[in-house]
Amino acid sequence: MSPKQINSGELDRLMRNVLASDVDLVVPSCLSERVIQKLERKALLRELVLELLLKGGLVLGSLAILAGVLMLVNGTGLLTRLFTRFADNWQIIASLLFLALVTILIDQIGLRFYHAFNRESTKG
Amino acid sequence: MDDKTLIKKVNDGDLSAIRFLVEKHKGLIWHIIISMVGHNRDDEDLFQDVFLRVFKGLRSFRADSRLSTWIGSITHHVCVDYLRKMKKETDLRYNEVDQQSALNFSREMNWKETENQDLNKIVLAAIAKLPEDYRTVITLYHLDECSYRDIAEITGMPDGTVKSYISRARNLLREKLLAVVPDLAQIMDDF
Repeated sequence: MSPKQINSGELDRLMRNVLASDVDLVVPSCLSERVIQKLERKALLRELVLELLLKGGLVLGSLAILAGVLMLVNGTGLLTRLFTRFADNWQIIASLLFLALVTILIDQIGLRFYHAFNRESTKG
Repeated sequence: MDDKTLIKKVNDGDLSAIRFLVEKHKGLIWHIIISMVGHNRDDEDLFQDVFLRVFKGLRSFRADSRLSTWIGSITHHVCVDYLRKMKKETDLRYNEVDQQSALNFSREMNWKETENQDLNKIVLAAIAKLPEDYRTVITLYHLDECSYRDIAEITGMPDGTVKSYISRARNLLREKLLAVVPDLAQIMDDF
């Protein structure tokens, strides 16, 4: 067979076989595993933050409804008194809110995130 | 699992869907990275970067194209950005590419290095010396079985350019392989 007789189909077949056998083009297994773990972490974190935001929204919504009901029943008197009390003690209330926020963040995100991945790695 | 279901599950945080997404598309991404950037210290970082971008962008993916071509085009962009950052020579003006590159390729190819190797190594060496765009296009075409249209979407080249790159790459390879292995047709029958 003369060299000129190599057609495109044969050459394509050769290239396909050669590329398929090239070890450089095989993804290292540890690499994809690392990426999967990274993405799983991101997904879990996203889910936990979303859940926390929903819970936060629920609490704030409930407080707003309660304030509305109080206003309907007692007018603005009770709310004004509450606001004055908060304003007088804003430092201690801010500290308590800050502590509560940190605790909730650790409990709802930090610990759950840690436990989920600890469980995964123990399983693995 | 079809693209739509997969996207929905990944966006809902389904961990097995995330695993499936990575397993399904890792080959395509790796092939583009290796053919454009080659093996270097940053190839694994680029691979991770692509998946993080895909994961982030999946919520806004409108399914105008197939998921695989969308992921491929993200990979292509990441590699182009990387090459630009590294100030490597990449000629992205498709119309002007490669008569010159093709000539350089012919001159640079040191066939003495490979004459004692088997056919696989000779062909791989020849492919490795192809201009980057040719290499990317033929890898996608042969290894990932992408159509001309898919490759055009991934690389942003016009369809005609993709077709002509594949044809030119084939001709270059044929020419060079025959110069080294004159009885190539015979060998290929047994390949």
